[in-house]
Amino acid sequence: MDRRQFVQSMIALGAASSASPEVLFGQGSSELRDLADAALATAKKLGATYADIRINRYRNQFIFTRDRRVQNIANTDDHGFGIRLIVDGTWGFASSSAVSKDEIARVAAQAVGIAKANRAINQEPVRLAPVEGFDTSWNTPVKKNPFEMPLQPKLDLLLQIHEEALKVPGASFVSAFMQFVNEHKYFASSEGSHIEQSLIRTYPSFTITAVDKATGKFYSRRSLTSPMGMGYEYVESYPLLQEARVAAEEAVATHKAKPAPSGPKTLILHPSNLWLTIHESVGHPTELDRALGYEANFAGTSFLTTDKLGTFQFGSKLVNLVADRTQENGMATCGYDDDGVKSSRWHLVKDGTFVDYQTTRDQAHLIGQKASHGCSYADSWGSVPFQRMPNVSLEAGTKDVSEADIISATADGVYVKGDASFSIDHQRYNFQFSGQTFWEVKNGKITTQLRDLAYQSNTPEFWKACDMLGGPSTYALGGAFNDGKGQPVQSNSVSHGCPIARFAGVNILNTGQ
Amino acid sequence: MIWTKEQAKTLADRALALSKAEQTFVAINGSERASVRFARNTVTTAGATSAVSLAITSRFGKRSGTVTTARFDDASLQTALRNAEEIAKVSPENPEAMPLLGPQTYTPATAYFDDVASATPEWRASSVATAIALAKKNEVVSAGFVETQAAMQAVASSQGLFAYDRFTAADYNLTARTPDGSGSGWASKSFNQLGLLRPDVLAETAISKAAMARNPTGIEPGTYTVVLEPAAVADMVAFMLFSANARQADEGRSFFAKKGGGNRIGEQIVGDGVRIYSDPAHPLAPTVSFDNEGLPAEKRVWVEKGVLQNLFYSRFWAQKMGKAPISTPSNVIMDGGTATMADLIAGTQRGLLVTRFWYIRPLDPQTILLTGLTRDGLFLIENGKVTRPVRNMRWNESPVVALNNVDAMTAPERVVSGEGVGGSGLSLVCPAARIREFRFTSSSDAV
Repeated sequence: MDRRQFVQSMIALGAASSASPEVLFGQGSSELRDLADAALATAKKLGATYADIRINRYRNQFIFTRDRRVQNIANTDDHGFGIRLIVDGTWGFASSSAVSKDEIARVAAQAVGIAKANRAINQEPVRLAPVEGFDTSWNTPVKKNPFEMPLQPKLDLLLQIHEEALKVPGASFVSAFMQFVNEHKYFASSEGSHIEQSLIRTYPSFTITAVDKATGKFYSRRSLTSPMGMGYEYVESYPLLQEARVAAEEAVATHKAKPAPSGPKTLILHPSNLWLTIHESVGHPTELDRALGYEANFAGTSFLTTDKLGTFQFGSKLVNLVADRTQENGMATCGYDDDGVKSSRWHLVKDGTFVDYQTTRDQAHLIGQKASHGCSYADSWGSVPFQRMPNVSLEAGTKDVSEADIISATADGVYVKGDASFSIDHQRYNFQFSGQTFWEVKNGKITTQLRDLAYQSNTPEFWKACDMLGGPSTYALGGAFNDGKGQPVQSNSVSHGCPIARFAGVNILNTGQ
Repeated sequence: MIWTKEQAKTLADRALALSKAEQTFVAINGSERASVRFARNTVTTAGATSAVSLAITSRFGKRSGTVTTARFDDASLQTALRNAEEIAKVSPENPEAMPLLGPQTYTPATAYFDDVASATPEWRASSVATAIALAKKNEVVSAGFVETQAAMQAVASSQGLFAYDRFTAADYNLTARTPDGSGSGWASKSFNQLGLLRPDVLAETAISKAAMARNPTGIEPGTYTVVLEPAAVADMVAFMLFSANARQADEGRSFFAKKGGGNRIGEQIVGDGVRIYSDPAHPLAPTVSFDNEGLPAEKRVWVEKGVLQNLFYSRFWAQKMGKAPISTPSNVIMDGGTATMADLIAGTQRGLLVTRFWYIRPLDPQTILLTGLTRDGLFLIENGKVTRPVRNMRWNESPVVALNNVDAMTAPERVVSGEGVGGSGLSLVCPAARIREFRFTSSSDAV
């Protein structure tokens, strides 16, 4: 095949759309609306009782540095579309990276074929909770779009992190990176929605390692930054250089730190650690799809079975956990989910009692609810939307209790900052977490740094042991860039806010023994 | 989208011809994937996706920039190339940048099979129907996943490199749970050929295990002899092997670092019955014939009679250390022994039979200490017999310690680890093994 034939074959396959990504995915593009309408009309003609299309573009920028060198700079650009539809009460889905009307027609027919093939094994016809049709747009309210920022200040800052860290004697290796994400999503449905969204996330981070070749020991300390649903203003506002110096000192000091104790202790968790415990022990078990068994083969089910709804004592009376897709700077924050449902905020745990789940349109009816909470998300144009976590956060205490107040009220405990190793069972009972740094607390004071510490507990026992909460001034957002779930595995980004919190009698492990 | 070698070469040549950089590297990846997911004895989601993408790395001296695009007309290629060139121009020099590879010689691969590439939605639905029917007949609730995929990849450079290959993968895994929620069983397989996949056998395995696992009782955490099914062995082996980076070892940042400097190649690190290697031509786990940079995939022994033979060396680190570059494993194969599963159990005075592990995460890179849980079938063995199901437990253990304590193994088989490693991404072949003194630290209420 010569070049001309090849180009023609690509066009025949729909590999080239009629407009560049910049034009096609420009805000308010009429081309997107035309393509979407064509998809919905085709699906309807082929017998679908419901159809939606997502035409999405994903841009990433990665900048990696290591030991005073820029290792790699990569800009990725990925776009395509996915058509989801219902035929005879059965879902079908198909997708392609070639955005053109011809390919949309082919893929719509493919999705119908898949739905028809699976009709024979479908025992539960799909029922969708009602939703209003929206013709609107929503963008992450960034102050500085990271994709419009020049590279040089980003590189300069990353390399400055190396210089600051390596000023500390004993700091051996430094790596630092920035990642920026832009999801541009166009959603249209047969129920009248045309929703365009542009979501931006930003993540700067570094790791400093102190090696002692004589003993063969090494310790690392990662930055306490979390990825955020913010623009470049997050990078500029976070004291990265200051923390690089502190992190290097702490990595070096770990060599001389006291071994962690073993056994039950009062546990104080900084938000930079607690966010991950919330994610694993609250975020995942309150997913309705897990509770119903949809994830039984992979991510697992949930101890929060539907019979516990409204009555189960999940934690102490201090514990209020909210799901919130409207949370400022949250990575799961958006205007509308991938079912076209408007974002909202609701309680999962109220005054210690388990009161609600995360839901999607096709599962809300299974627990008698009439509307979806808007938790549908797909990580790509090529992925099937399903139930994914909104931002799930622990509300701060009503009194403005400070970090110093909690330390001074603690006779014998440990204080953990930063997230590290994490593991939880497939029904979300038994968990074990570690951290970046650990501190001994004796008689109301932080006395010394510890090393090799992890804590183990059982989710409801842990949350019932919560006996002190920091106030709003201690509240901070953490979050995960790549939370995996589903088959094929999809990853989503989600934030978790919390104050400093204290837990009585949690089992501490010395992992160095 | 699965392009032919000629189509991939044509696109690569066009991109290289339009480049203005001193050196240019391109990588083309395409795939056709389709799957069905089920739970609660019914289909939940099903889908198909077709994609192709091009990654371009432009180089000026030791400066480089990378972009990806999914558009291949000349204007789009020009835009992507100019973007990569702009990034390269403003990027600081990377002293570790290596020259792009020129022409290489590859051994033809055999990882692509037409029966997978042509699998239909009807075949996938019928394979799910088989599992659901067996689950209903045995009064359990099934959940699972079947996926077929075909993929192609090509790399080319302005220095004359060109490589093209394709592979196929068919994955099937399912969990069966008793309706009272007290028993759970699991089975999983992945092959390059559809004909090797037996959904009925997998369903029967998961269903019988769920029945065996019903109504577990508690057992004290502590140190036990374990009989690990191949999926659990694979987790141990894969975690250890993927820590085997030469640079990290030489820099003192890994288990494979030698105290005082250097690495532990040549040292006994695990039991002398352990042999671990990679072989792209392995009949059960064939892989593509080159790595991401275009280096040929080769047979490589990592551990022989328990002695560390090789670590993986990036091209930069290999040059710096005067070694040949060694790619990360193309697949992971652990030789086994002559025992049967029945032998492993019969030879256990008191121990635990483990179906699979779950949520494994590293705790300490110094010792490769890991934590994780058992799942979908944990059984007590007493006096050489499986006596009762027991509640799941969390363990804290290093694969290095575990592989030092192996005292019997079965023949190896193609296996998928408990968290899905071993499917289409990385092929694993491992035996079941009996391992002494495996540490469990707490119990889990999860079924």
